[in-house]
Amino acid sequence: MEEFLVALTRGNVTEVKIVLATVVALLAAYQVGLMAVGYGKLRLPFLKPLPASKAHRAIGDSIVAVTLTVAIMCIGYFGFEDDAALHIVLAVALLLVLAFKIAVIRRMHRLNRLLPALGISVFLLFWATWFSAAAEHLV
Amino acid sequence: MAEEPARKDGGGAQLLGSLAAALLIVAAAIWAVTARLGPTSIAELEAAEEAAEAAEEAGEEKAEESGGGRRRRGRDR
Repeated sequence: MEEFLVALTRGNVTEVKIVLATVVALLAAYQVGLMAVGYGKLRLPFLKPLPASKAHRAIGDSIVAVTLTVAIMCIGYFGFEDDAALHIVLAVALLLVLAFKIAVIRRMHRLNRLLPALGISVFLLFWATWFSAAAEHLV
Repeated sequence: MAEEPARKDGGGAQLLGSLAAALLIVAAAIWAVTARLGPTSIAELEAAEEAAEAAEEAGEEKAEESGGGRRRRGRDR
């Protein structure tokens, strides 16, 4: 797995991971803005709630795919190192909350009232996970 | 039912615009992060390795010239 990832990224596993993690963290912030429009909390003259919600769903699907890619790269290349305990805890929490949010959206509709809180939790966990690993290379 | 007029009012265009904005965010993030990280780390690592090897070789040559020069002469004989 490690060799495959090194070959795939031409030796730049960490760098590719940082780029992808930064992309999803920024998109997570954009997602919060879209849902603020979607829920009618933010009114914009050029964007109505329905298209904002649809864009949120489409971008969210992409974010999940990229996030899983980053997770696979991280576990496949770095494994579970002791000195990255905080990053691992945050990343696992992010994946669990994200999975629960998707379950609520697709199946557990009676829990729909939890979606705003779950969305904000996912957003915060994305940034916390980013700060616990990628930030040291960029900030 | 309320969704249809929204679509006719340019909902599709708004959706596409939102997705285009997301693509712009992605492109800007990739550009900014790669600019910050610099050229491929592989190239940097190789350059650093080559510089270290060159410095090591230069050090060895100097050592040979100062102390090992006699040895070389001896070998030539």
